Amino acid sequence: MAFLISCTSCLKEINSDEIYTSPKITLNAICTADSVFIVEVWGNKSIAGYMSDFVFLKNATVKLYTDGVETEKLVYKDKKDFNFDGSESIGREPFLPTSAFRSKTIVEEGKKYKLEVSHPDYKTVWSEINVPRATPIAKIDTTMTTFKPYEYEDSYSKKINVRMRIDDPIDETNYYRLIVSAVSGNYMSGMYYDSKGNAIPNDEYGYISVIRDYSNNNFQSTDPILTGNNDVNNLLFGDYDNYFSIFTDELFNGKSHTFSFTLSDYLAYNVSCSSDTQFGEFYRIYITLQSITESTYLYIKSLEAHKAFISGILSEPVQVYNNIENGIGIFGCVSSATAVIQNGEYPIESVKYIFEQYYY
Amino acid sequence: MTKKSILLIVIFCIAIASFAQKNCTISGYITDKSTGERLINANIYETKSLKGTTANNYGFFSLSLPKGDVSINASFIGYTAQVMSLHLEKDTTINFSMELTSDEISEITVVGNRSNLDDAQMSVIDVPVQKLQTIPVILGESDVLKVIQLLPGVKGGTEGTSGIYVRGGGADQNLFLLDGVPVYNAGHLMGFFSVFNPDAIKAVKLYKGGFPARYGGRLSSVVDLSMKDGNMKKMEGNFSIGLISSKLSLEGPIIKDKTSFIISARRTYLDLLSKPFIATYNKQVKDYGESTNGGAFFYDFNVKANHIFSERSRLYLSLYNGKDKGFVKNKDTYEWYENGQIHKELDKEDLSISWGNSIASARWNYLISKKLFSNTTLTYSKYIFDTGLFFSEKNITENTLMENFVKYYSGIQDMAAKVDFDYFPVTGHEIKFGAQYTRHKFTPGVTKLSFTDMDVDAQNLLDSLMGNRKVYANEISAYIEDDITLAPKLRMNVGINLMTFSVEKKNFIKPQPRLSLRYKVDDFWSIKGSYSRMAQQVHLLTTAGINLPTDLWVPVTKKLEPPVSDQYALSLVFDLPKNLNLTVEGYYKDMQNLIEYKEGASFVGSATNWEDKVSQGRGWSYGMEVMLEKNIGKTTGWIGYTLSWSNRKFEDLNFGKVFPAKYDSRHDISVAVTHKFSDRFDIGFSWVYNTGNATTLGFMEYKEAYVPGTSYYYDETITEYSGEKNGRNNFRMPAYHRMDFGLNFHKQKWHGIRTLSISAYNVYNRQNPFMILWDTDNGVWNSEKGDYSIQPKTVLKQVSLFPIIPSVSYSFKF
Repeated sequence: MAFLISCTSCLKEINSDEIYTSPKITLNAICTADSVFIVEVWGNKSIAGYMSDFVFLKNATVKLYTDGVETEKLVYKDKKDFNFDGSESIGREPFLPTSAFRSKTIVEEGKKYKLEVSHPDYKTVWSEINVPRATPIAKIDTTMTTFKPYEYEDSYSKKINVRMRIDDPIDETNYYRLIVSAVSGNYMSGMYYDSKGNAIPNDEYGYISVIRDYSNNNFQSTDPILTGNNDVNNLLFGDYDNYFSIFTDELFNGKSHTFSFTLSDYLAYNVSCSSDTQFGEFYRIYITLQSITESTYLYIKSLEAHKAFISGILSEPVQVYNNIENGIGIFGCVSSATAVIQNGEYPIESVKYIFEQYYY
Repeated sequence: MTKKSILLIVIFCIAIASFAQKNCTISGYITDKSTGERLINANIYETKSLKGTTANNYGFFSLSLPKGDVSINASFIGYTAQVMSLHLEKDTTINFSMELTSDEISEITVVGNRSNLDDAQMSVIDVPVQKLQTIPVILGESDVLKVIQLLPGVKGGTEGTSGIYVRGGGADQNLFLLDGVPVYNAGHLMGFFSVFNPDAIKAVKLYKGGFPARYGGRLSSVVDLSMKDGNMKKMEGNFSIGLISSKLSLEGPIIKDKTSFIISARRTYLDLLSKPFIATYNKQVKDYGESTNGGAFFYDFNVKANHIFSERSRLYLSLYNGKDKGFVKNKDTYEWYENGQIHKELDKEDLSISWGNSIASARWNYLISKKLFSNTTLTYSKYIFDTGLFFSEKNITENTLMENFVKYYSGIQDMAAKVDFDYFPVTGHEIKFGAQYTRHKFTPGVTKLSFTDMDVDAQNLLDSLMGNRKVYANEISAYIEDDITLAPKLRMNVGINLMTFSVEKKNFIKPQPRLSLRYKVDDFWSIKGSYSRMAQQVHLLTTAGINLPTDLWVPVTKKLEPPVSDQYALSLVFDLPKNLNLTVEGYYKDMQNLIEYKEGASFVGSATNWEDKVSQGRGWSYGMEVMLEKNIGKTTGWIGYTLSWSNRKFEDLNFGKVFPAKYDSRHDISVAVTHKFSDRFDIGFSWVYNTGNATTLGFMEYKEAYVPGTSYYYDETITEYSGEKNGRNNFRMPAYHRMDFGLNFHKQKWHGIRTLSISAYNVYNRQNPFMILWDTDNGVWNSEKGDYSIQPKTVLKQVSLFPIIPSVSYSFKF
């Protein structure tokens, strides 16, 4: 039958005049409490036709309403206007949008914000959220243990076991995202070259390069709360092994819960073996518990599944959650509580830090 | 409430039974005179009082009439009606042996099939098995399920396949009963052919609603297929050769009028035809040390035997076995020079995939009294899917061997015992009751891995089983059904089916009440109404529109409750002049606890934790069906029209919003007509039109948002599934329509009748949509800003499967 179908089946183009298109504003803004609003405004585009880039709608009007009152009209800042300062990055947020509408208003926990975007060529779009309050990390214990990764090899590795307790707020549904990330500070000697091209070290100009460490910043857990909600990703790719976990308080609503998880041996090795601390080198692991809006939760969850979707006739495509009225995109917010595991000191007043950026 | 209902029904039956003692009973069997086959649903009535009944599934009838002179009429479509007059003084046995008649005579002598007008039963269609050969289908392979697809209220799935979707239900909501045994996978060759060999089938009934209480276990339909019993009078047979398969059936008496048998078998032969080509290829590559073999086929056979011990007692034994198999075997021998030595290695690969059903049943009919008929059945049903990949590397020089073996199998096995009783207290009153026990064994998917390397110390490095363990479940069901004439114009069929299902230490109890009412306005039309609740104890994990062997039958679990449906239907039935029957039906069906794969998930990947892959939700469908049919005369057939809606709502799918079911179709039209010009020549044609299927298609794209804490550069493009409707199944494919045409030439030969059939599928070569996708065209030269490159354009394309396909087949009946 497959042979017959391969011989008889055919492919024909459908009249493109009948294709449905709906130009909309894409409003993307997942903001961080205690920071400014960073809002991206794009036009969507049709799949049909010639390949084209997305257009950033610079001349859009972006209004911010706080608790129902218009408080600010956001200003567009281009990449070149973006003031990249170390305090904002510290290697933790290297991919913040550089071309975006930015506010002066600082996002405050517990407040209600509405974003309204208008543009002459599109319908006006809006969305409203309540900023969640961060759930503090009530207690965190870490222990480092040694283990033998391969039965037949005589080598040992280290791992960090983490027990982290939180007290979930009563009478409300909370959405969380647990992230493990790392930043390394590496000593870079100042160099100059002589007339023959030889590199000459000059310790006077040495500095610490602060970069985010992307390698194997994952963690494993058998806690069903951490592993159970990553369903589509898990189902398609097997075991849970990610740098973040997204979950709700469905199983511990209003109660204390202690999470147990293990950081990768890579992280354990780096945080225990950071050398040259005398020059100011350091290695810092961030364990961050983000309290996120429901919209952010649904967006991340569906986006992960959307990316993992294997196109074909065997499964249904995954839709990404959208909470923009008249438009498309996402308006959400995160409030974070962070615990740190660190080797070496940071910051040291006398050390010069350079914040490096890497784009993948 | 349930206990009260059962009690009331029992009291009612006893009361009626005591009243019945004043009458005499005429009972017996109705058979085909030439073959001895029992005729199912033949009509019997007393000509003066017009009181009557229909023969049951074993051709048995029982009439209670007042003492005195009576005249009994027996009729059945295609047979000459018989009238017998007698003076009734005591209980009497009469057997009718009816003769087949020509169509010309039947228009005059047969009063017509009045049962549809008289029965309380509604939403049921007798599929014209006799016409199967005449209605053209793809590749000339006559198929019961493809004829059912042409009926109103039934939608076929993917083009060319034999899947059915009834009144907005799913593919897993149809109960296929072959001689009372459930068949789990009704498809051969990915569902392109059904497993039911038409040569072995005597009668087919399709129930779409108003289900009698004796049926249960599926939400949307029951397809009750009865196999032929075997000719009691003489040996006869039939063989046919088609493009895809050949069939042979043989039937006859072992002891005349006592014991008979029927054997039917068919097999595809593309694999056999391809063998010379494979041999030629192997000759060409022999010098390179290579050889290959492969093929795909299916076969099935039906065997049935029956023995009449006495007028009261008869035993039936039925067997069915069918299998699909595909395989590829490769061998590769090669040599290389290393360390001053010639090394020789033999590599082998063996991939196989097979699936099939095995079914057995033993049925014993026993007439306890002239009013009480019993049938005791033992059944066995098994479906198994098995696939394996084996490969090995043997270094002949160094005598080392490495073998890898991966095997995946899944299946379901049922063993059941049941007893059914038909009790006929008075004419116009029939009570059916019975009980059944079924032991289910589910194997939802097991993977066996084996890795052996003779070259290392640990020879068997891996030998493990992964996947879901076997799941056992017990099902007990009981039913009582009362079909009674309440008033001259009012008839009722009321009953209840009680199903209990135990799995994983959890018990589900599902009472399913049923009620059908008929009000006969006059001799030409009736009004009918029905309510039926159905429950289902199994789910089918299926992803595609086609019937894949990987589809898994799994039991209901603690997490996934049994699906339940409530269907309400109302119909008008008309007997029109010129033997035309018109039925107009409206229905509303609500379905709870349906399952669907979550978005993005499929059977791909691990078969474990299947419960996490699926979501449970609600569905509902409603619509109207019109069917104009003619079953008598030279020209027979039907015209059907369905207007329907079918929706789904799942909390985890489409963000909890309502979406149309995949096979939601607004308008379905079907025409199936056959015309017999003479005994030597007849024609058949069919035409179908469906609103296009719903599918999920993205039209726009937008940018991914940055999520604080994300450790990658966010530059993904997200597809937006909006359009005329938003979300899942947002796009309608173009409409589907197709005409098939067939000619049959019959010729009387010395030993029998030969038939040459020529047919064409999709006569006007319509390119019907199978799938819609985005694709790029060949592009145009882009010369902007000195960038000379080809710029492709993304366009929407449609995949079509079958153009016009002519076919020819030859059959000989002896």
